[in-house]
Amino acid sequence: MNAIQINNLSKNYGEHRGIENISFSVEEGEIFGFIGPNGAGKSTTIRTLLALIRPTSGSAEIFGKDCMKQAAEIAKDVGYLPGESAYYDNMTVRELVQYAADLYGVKGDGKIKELSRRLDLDLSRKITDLSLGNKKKAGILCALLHSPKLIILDEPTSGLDPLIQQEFFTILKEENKRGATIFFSSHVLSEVQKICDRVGILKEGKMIGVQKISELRANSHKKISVTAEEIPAGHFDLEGITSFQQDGNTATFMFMGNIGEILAKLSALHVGDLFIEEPTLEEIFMHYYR
Amino acid sequence: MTVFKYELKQLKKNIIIWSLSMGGLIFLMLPVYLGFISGSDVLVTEALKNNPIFEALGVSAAFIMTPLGMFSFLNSFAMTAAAIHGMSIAFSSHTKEYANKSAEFLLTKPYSRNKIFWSKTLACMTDSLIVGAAYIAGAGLAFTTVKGVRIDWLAFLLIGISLVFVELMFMVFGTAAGTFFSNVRTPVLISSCVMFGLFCLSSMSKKIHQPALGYLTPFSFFNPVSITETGFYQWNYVVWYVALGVGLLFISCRTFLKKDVIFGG
Repeated sequence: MNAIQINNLSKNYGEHRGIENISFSVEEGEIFGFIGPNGAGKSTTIRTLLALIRPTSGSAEIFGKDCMKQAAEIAKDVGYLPGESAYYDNMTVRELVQYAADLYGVKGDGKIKELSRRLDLDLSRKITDLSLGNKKKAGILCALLHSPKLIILDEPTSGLDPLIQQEFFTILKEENKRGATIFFSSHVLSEVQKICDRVGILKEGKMIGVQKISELRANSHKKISVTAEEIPAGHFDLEGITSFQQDGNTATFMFMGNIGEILAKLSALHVGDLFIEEPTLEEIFMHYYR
Repeated sequence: MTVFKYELKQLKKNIIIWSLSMGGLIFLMLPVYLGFISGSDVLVTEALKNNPIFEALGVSAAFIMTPLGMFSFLNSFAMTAAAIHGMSIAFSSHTKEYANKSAEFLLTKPYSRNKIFWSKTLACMTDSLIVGAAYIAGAGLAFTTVKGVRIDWLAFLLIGISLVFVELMFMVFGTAAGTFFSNVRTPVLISSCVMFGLFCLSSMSKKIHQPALGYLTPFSFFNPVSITETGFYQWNYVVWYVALGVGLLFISCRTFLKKDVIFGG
């Protein structure tokens, strides 16, 4: 059974575009990245999954249950961190987290204590006094305290400092190891790259691809930079080479194809220096989805 | 019960302040106003006979000169405060989730929207009932402190409870307003305006002798003169009150269940 199954999901906001005919699935136990630029429809998709908004057409299921009809039942197994962390200003963090625990029907004292320590969050502070990052931490606590089977994160790292981000990724990996499925929405591709198994790309309300990160990399361009005594003109006239630039005895280009062919070409030169790099996801997607 | 408990906890300060204010004010004011009528005679009644304010409130000068009449007079003004209180707490209980953007927190928990709606409604109802009870207790205590005043306690209770009923009806109005206009940021101001408009409509219906208009405003549902004469409320208004209240709550609940959570929309 899939953790998430979305079929032809659409949502229109009158004149404004929401999402159009989105279909994909997330397997149980995987970490699925959901990326796209701001306004692509990531949050709309998530909010439809959580029954915060009703779809115009299509269907969505979590663990085989209909997201609209069985929202409350589904919520027992889901931990959700909203993109905009906003809570009850007059409460303290402890009261808020306790409220969440009561709503989930769990005690969660141990987990609250552990997570607040690891995230360096003061539970006695009022929500209204918290910075964006600390509100995010409070949200993480509320989302994880009941050890959910599915964790849905919408732009989870915004506002978190690098050290806490690192700790947060460690926590997520531990949750995943425990068996939790993670749905990670972000517009920052490098963080998706760090943690996800597969990635779905959303652009202007449409799903334009779902691929394994490893396949995406394997089938993608290599970024090559070579410095040699001499690089004869036309030496790299080879199928699969793009973005070729030569500056004196240094050539930089992108290559996709038989790696043996390019190695043969390189070995024919008196190479002084060589870099073969994996391109970042940004570079990959710029090639695929321009 | 979780949402009810937390909603009530958030209303704790409101309950204390409003209970003390309503109960305290009527306790302090009633003996003073009862003092005005204790020494009055027929001449005073005659002088007040044509005062238009009594007509607008649906009472007579002669009725005002009785202890229960004076209580009704004060009660009609206390009702305006209770109406604002009732409507604003219910209105705020829905709009705060949008103003604070906490709706995403609450509506993604394993608690159905139906349960959340009724928990919020029940918490506001409890608040209104406590404030109403404090008001009635304050008024009752005030009557016991004034020597030589004898009243029909059943009529007193019915008049006092009419304030609670008006407050509850405005609470229903607030619930409806909150579910339909969740992104409103000034629930207290709007509640005050609605109260003022409906109070004026009630006065107008009495002034121009158009009882049909009275069905549009809770201020007309409970006439103190009729209560003291018949020993109960007017049945036509009781039936309308229940139908209106239940109908509005039902429509509000249906709307809440299907509503998209969109902030600022």
